[in-house]
Amino acid sequence: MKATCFMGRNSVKVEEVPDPKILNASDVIVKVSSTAICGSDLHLVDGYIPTMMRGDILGHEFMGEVVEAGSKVKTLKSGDRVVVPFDIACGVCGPCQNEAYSLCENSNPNAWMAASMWGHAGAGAFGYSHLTGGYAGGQAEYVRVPFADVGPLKVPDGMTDEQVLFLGDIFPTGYMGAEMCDIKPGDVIAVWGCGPVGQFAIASAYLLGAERVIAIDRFPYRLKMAREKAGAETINYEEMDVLDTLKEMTGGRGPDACIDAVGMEAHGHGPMWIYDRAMQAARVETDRGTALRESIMACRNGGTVSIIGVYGGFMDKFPIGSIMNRSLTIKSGQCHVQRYMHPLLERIQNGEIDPTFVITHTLPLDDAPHGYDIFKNKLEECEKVILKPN
Amino acid sequence: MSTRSATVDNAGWDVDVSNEQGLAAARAGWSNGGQSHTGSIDPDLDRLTRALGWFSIGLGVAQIVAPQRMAQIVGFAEDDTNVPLFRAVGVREIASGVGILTQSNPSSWLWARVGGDAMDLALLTKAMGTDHADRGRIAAATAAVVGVTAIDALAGMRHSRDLNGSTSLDERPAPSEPRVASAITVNAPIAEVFAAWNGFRDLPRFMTDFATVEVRNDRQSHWEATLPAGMSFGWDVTITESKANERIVWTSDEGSGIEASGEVRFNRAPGDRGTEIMFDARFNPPGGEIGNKIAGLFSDPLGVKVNNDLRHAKQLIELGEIVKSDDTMVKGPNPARPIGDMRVT
Repeated sequence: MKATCFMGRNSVKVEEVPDPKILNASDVIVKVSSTAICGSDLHLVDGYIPTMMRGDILGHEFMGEVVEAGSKVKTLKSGDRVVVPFDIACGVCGPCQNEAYSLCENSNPNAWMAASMWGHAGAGAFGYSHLTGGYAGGQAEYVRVPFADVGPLKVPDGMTDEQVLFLGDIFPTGYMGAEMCDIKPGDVIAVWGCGPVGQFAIASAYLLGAERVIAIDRFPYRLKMAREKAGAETINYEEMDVLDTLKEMTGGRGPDACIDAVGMEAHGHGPMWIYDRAMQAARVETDRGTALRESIMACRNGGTVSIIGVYGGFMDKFPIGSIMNRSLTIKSGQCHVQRYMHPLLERIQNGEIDPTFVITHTLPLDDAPHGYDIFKNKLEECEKVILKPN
Repeated sequence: MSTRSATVDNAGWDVDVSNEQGLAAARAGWSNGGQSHTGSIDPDLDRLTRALGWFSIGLGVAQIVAPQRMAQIVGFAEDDTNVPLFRAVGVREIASGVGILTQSNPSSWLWARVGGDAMDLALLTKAMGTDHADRGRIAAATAAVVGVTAIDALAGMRHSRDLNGSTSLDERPAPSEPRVASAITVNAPIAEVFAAWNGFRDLPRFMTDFATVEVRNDRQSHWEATLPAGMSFGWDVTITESKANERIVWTSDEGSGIEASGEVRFNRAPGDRGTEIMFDARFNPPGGEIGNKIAGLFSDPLGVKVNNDLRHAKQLIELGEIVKSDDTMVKGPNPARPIGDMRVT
């Protein structure tokens, strides 16, 4: 089959690889109909997440048709159309029973690697380095999906791929980012990053009752999407000082909650930004803190900072004093996608949101390298790339 | 957790231990390092030891004074590249020699010689593969080093044993033998978790990373652990105590490859979270303190391996099978992609 492979730093190729097989009795094999490139795929390709290997198949946002099912699979059969969560979860362990699926204790066979880096290990994930298990990803013609009775969501008849594809990651991720803000009537929420996850965080904050949402980015086309499609007020950080502007917009209080939808490859300006670039390039820190530091400093006293942008390891100059002295709450996590798929599907069916608004490019799988290029370099006003393998 | 029980059979004395201090004392009984030795030594062993000491010094001096000539003798390339290496090895040899001749307990220094021999064998193996090397001479040198290693190890073992037998229990120093331990919580009732470990019958199903286990009967098994660089060590295990839903205590048999003991403890996890398993093993490698220190280097990596096997046990109990990814289908690092004609077991 054809698959999008990581071939070294900044190198992605579509290669011919063997077809996947059933390895555990609870697996299914899915013939992929649509898959997407995620912002976190860029962290992998840019070489900031350790334990990537040349030849790894990328991709953790995908959906398609079940073509083979293992002997213990009860709820799916060949021909079923499914969306698959990016995080792999067994459904049986303690965290899974508490719906903390991205903390599954059984799905990461390389747990020791993750534990050596983070103290404890999280769940396995598709196409997301060997730290999260070394599972082949879904930017391919076929993919093996473990724990088929736990993760995949059957797609109701009549819904298009584009309507449901983002239930596997970015819609639930943005939604969880907003949910962690514990939004109350009258709350003002600020969102750093107007990539696809940021757009869903903005939309979700409104779904959860936010009074106003303020979005921060530097690309006019992305800010425009946040304004026109997601309904945010916007700040272009290259034109305005973010902290001052947020104070002015909120009567000096600061936003009630801040969502970091940027993560480890944040951009910025000024001496701190140059410092972070240098520290990260020298591998003294793995994570650039431009967006996270700013979201902490901006948050109102006693407010919440919700981190859904991906971080890999260590950050320098972390403003712990601002957190401690101002009673901030930090909440974070890889999304427990399985927890959100059904309720968010209902919101789509009810017409509360149309997730297709983020899609700007649909390409054949063969053009994946081009998709990575335009998404990474913000060319052709790229916001979200969908790949069609078959 | 506070009460432990073990029967330790070692070097001709039996200690029945029923509390923490007692077990510590029994463990101390295995440790022979650091204790100054005053007992009489067999004259033959003494002669052999002194000869090995002088051999070390002579070899060391030659390597420092004439590194190029020594390189040529053992078949390394005859140029300047190996001079620093040979001088460094020379310093090591002199240190071992002086240690053997001047210490009242030379066993640690004899084991240091064994360590040095292993290093030399590694260097010779590496040299075999290089250009400009005289493979015939290297082969001869390798054979010589293997012979010397055997003599060193024999002398080291006899000294260690001699020391063990001649010092009383309460004079022994605090234990320092390497510990390999790990814990995990399984979301299942304690009886179910204990059943998976009872008699160690099912260990071969999940104990694959730390050691391979061959079960002989309800009490006895043979464990074989692998270390980096293809080294391995094995030991025969006898279960000395098994208390349902509480603990399984084991010890290595006398004369098995390495002295070891351990227990697997089971506790109800607080907050209705199932069962905690605690795997706790102690090893007493040959070579006293030096041996302990060398083995100590492996206790963390071995702890990780034990944790991997505890995860396997958890997966078998909770899911009924061990979870596989593309990465785990082949030993060693390989990319996350399906493997062609792999055999799925």
